[in-house]
Amino acid sequence: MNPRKELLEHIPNLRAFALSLCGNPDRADDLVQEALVKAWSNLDSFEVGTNMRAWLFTILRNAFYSELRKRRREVEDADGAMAARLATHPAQGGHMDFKDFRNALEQLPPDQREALILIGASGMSYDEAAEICGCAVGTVKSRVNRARQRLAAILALESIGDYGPDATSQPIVTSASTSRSVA
Amino acid sequence: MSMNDKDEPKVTQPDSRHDTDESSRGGLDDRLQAHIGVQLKLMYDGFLNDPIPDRFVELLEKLDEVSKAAEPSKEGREESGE
Repeated sequence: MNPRKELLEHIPNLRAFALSLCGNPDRADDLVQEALVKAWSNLDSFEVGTNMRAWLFTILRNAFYSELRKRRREVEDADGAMAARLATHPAQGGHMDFKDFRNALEQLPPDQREALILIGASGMSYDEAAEICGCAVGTVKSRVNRARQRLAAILALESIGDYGPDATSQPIVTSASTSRSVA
Repeated sequence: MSMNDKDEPKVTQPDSRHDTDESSRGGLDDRLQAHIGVQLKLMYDGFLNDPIPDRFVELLEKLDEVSKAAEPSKEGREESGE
């Protein structure tokens, strides 16, 4: 297949991955662009017949992490500002739940967020996710578990903040604080 | 890369002191986890259904033109100069 057409087909997935990973639409599209250019200039090193989506995801997440390291050396971005910009993304569909969820996701360490997105949303297998992240399958599993625990804790606490504790949510808070102390 | 991978999460193993709320806690955790799974998919699929921005279509066209100009022959890709 024409490489241009093939890359084009993967753009929606690349963007979804980038947007889920970094939250900020402008940064996400810059990452996609960087990944596309890198992929194009390294097409020779891509083995035809292997998993192009996983290959592109690897390039994109490497770009994400090197940008993250660079940003940490420079200025600390206000997480709240990032989440706010993200919340205006048209894809959200105006759900209150969505904003809470995005905010919670932003609070995860990047490696846990990445693992959760790959396994829980993008449809990658554990093997593919391990290859993309450059780690063992067991590491992916434990990152996903920790991401889920921490998200549950954050979401439970936030819902208390919004509506006040009640008989239903109180036990969640109790269990949330337990798992937070473990993480 | 990540140094804290060694400490495996001690999930849902409530010690005996907490066994009174074990059953209710399991149910709530399940509901929260189901909620997380749904939200995650909704978010990702929402992004997935965004139309592809023109900038990427144009970018790929430009890259295509550049490589065609660099190698007028259809197949040969031995000399990958600029």
